Amino acid sequence: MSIGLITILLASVFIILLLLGLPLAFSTGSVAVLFTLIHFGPDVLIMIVTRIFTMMNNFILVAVPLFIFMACILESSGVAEDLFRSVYVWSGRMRGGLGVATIIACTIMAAMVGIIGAEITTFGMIALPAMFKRGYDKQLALGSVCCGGALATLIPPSVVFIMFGLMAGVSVGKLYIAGILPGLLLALFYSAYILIRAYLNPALAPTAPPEERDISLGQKFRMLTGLILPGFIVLAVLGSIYLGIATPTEAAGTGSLGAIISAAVYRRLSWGMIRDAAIRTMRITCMLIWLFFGASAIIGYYTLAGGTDFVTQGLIGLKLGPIGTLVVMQLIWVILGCFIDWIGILLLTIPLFLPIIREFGFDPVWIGVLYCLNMQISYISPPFGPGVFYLKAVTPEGITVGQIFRSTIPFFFLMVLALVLNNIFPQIALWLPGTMIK
Amino acid sequence: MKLLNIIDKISIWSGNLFSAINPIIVFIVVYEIFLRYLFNAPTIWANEAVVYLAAVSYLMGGAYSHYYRAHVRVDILYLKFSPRTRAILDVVTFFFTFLYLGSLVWVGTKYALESLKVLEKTGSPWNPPIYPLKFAIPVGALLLLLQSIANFIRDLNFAVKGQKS
Repeated sequence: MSIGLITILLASVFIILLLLGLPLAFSTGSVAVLFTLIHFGPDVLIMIVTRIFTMMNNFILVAVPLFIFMACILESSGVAEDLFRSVYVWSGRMRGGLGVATIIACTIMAAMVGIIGAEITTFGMIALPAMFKRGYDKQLALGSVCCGGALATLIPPSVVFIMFGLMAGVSVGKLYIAGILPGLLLALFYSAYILIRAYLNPALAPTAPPEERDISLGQKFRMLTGLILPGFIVLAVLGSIYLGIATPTEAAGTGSLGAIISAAVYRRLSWGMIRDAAIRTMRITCMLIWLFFGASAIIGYYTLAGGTDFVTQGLIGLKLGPIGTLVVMQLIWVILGCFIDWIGILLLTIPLFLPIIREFGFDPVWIGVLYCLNMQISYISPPFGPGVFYLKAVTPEGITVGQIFRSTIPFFFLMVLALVLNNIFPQIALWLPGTMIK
Repeated sequence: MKLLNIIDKISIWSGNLFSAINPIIVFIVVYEIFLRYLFNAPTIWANEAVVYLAAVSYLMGGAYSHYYRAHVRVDILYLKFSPRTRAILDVVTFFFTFLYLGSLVWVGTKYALESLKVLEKTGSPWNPPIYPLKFAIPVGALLLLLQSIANFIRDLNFAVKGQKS
């Protein structure tokens, strides 16, 4: 049987299983087992087990549960409330100030949290009610929390970058540092957008009522103490990675300790809270890692059958040139992003794209950042936009999923703008990691 | 059904038990950093132990995630169906889950037994035995398979009778 025919068969069975609602982790795994059995016989099944064993023995993979654990602790530590308050007291007279404060708080939080779920739900509970109370336009408020919160995976530490680094064999530390400027750029776009909208139509984003404005400068400065703990955590985690003194796993361990200390400072620390965070970490991590196992199995089979070469040659054979290929790869990511989440796309496409990336000499760190930018879009693209559903879970009654999807449309265009800029100017991503010592 | 409840309990229990690994890993990582950077005396076991423990938790927690049906699906069509149709689809696709997890249990056991026969070790300076870690694959897959079977029986019951038991 030719590899072309195998590819079509494999893809059809896989897609049918997915559409029938079989979890992704089992669809990939079972298709891998089925095809390996028929194509190579039962003796080759050991390949799947050894691949799983290699994967679970990876030191960097440990950073995934650690960063998720850190996020779960921070989520219930009270850090975010204080952080948000200390930023927004400065926004008093400024039109759209509260919206910008939300984006700034999201950005700082994103430098501590590596999963969008923790960030969007946190600010959905803190910033959204504050904006609604002040009479902000619902669409503007929803969109800024949803997209500001999604920055969590572009600004390090990000679980997406860990998985990308593992899959593509790139330094996770470099990816982290490369994500900083594109993340800040996106935050800047969001803030500028909110300010412009508020300037053109003040009714969309009312300023603070007088009693909230009458906070003395001294008081405002005293409230800045709310930034000390987060600042410390950010510096410890990112600083140690930037300076090359800690691996992402070590940084994640230190960050988790920092999160626990913060929770203690805010008097929220208890055994119950740690247990709750540990158990939620378990649920998310095992879901991610079993997906990883399944994808590794299907990629293992497909490589053995000669499929990866087939796809690479096919894509190169299209003679699109480097720019065309880059665009096609990203279009595939955006389209897939409507239907499956980032981890699925990563696991299925990166092994296929990697040889092409090498062929054209693209810097894999840059590709990692582009991937993350594309995933920003996937978080909000219907019908399956995880960011939107996370926010829906914490919004008050009466806000529909459709409303949240619509609220993200202007932000979608800003994401596309940032994506285009990063495509044209790789330096945005690559300049900062270039200054690292190692 | 009594048996199904027992399976649920095993999944929840293993999830709760092995979730304790995460705080322990935090502790070991921080401990190692202190020793290395402050006292310049790194251990030979910390990093390996961290990987070892984490690997066990990934495998043993799969069933727990599945109990909460937390494994992500592509639900463009799936969510449009009635709950009963969904149960029917889950019954049909279960055989694929069974094929995958069954293979992991079967081949994983063979893989781990070979390692046990020679009492294989990791070969690092610390050099702990590695076969217990290899057994985590079939055991974790078995727990996940049991939870899948429990979910399957419930779906089957719902698909046939049209009401949840």
